[in-house]
Amino acid sequence: MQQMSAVDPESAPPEAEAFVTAHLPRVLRFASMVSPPGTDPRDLAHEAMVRALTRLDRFDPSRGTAEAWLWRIVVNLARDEGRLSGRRELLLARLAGASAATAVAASAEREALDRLRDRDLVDSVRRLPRRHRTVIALRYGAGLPAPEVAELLGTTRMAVVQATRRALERLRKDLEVER
Amino acid sequence: MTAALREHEDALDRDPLAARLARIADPPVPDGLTARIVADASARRFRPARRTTLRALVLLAAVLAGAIAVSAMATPMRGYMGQLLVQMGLEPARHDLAAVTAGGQTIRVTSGVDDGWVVMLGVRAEPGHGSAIRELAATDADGRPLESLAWAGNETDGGDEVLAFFRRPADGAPPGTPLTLHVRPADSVGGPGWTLRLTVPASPMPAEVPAPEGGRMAGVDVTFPEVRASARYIVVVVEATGPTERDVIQTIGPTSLADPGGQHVPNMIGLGGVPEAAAGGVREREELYWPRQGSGAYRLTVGPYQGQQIRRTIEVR
Repeated sequence: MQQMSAVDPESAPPEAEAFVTAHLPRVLRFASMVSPPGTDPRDLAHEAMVRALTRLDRFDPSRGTAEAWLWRIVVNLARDEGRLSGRRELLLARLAGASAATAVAASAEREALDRLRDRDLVDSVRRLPRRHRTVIALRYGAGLPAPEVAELLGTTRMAVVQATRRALERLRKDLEVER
Repeated sequence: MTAALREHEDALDRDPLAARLARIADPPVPDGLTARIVADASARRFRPARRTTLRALVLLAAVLAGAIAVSAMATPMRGYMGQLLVQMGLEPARHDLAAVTAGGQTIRVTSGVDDGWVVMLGVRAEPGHGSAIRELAATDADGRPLESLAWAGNETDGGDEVLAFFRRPADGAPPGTPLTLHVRPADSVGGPGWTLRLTVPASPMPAEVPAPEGGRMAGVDVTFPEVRASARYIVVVVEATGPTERDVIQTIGPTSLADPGGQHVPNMIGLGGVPEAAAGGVREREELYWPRQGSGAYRLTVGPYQGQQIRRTIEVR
């Protein structure tokens, strides 16, 4: 049921602005990881937040948290715009089998990663295949735990964990080549 | 959780690359982005107001000010929704269709339309909270639920006023038969809500009006599958098919109507508006309602979108 709690636009901005201020940074962070090169993450973040604001009155607290509701909107939009992998793609990746683990000494890798600039790391994420970008952006961009990612993508928790592991392996290889 | 799953998750948590990704700082929010989001959302969310030009709002304010000046102090101040009911000739009404007081809250159904096309109910909540009403549901005399189409509301000095739209089931009880309205309060108000029983006098179904030709603007095809007019309101069904959801929303969104005298008519509501995949991209169908302002040639304008618009005439007799 579509609802509008008020019609006077003057009454909307303070509440709306607080909502945007609270959530926009993380939505932007997610968008910056999931958007492929050549696209502007700000467009996705902008549209996602507008869509969320226009549907704020449809949010039903009895059906979950506001955060989970917001991320459903963001993920659906990203999927509509072709930036996110769906369940089918993740399952195909799982069937393809896990690639061999990369043997990198953890401490040495930590040092190398610490020297890496955020922007370079995000750029590498954006160049990943879509199925890998999807889980990386949801887990580390949006900061969502595996169960929530599984629910958003319509898959199992184990599939998300395995997909994340494969995405990290691919990103690790890409970073090694770049270095 | 299985041991295997736990083991995999623990391994991920220890992965240095995962830890580094989690430490990526939030990107800076570009200047003005928050304000643009709020403005764009406000334009989309408050559709009735959005379709009302500033000039019309000023006129409306003047009408309201005039009405207040000449009316008795007991007359509640009307907001946007209340004024629409006045423009439809539904209010001021001699008496409420139903009223109930419980939990310190009074809910009144002040007027309505039940014409076989739509059921429209004017509802007031007193005192007003801005969010006293969270959900409205209605059932017919046989206990069958009416389709909840949408509602829009606003705060006024005396309370919250709401205009709610329902549709009777196709093979359900006819117009003019009793209805039961269930009002669920906002969580901040609490309580089980209120139930009102009422009968809205049946009125003639809105008559079909010759629909204008469709058109194309900025890559979006626009058609008008149905146009109807009753003594109270005009409804135009607009269908837009375009490459993206954004295109069709922004095409239909600013649609406006001018009465035979050339005056802007305030939009009541847009029903539907759920984009769906279609050949050619995305299609959105929306029922747009305006209070009728006499007979004659109304001017319908779809858009503007990307500097283009479609203008059509609707003859309402």
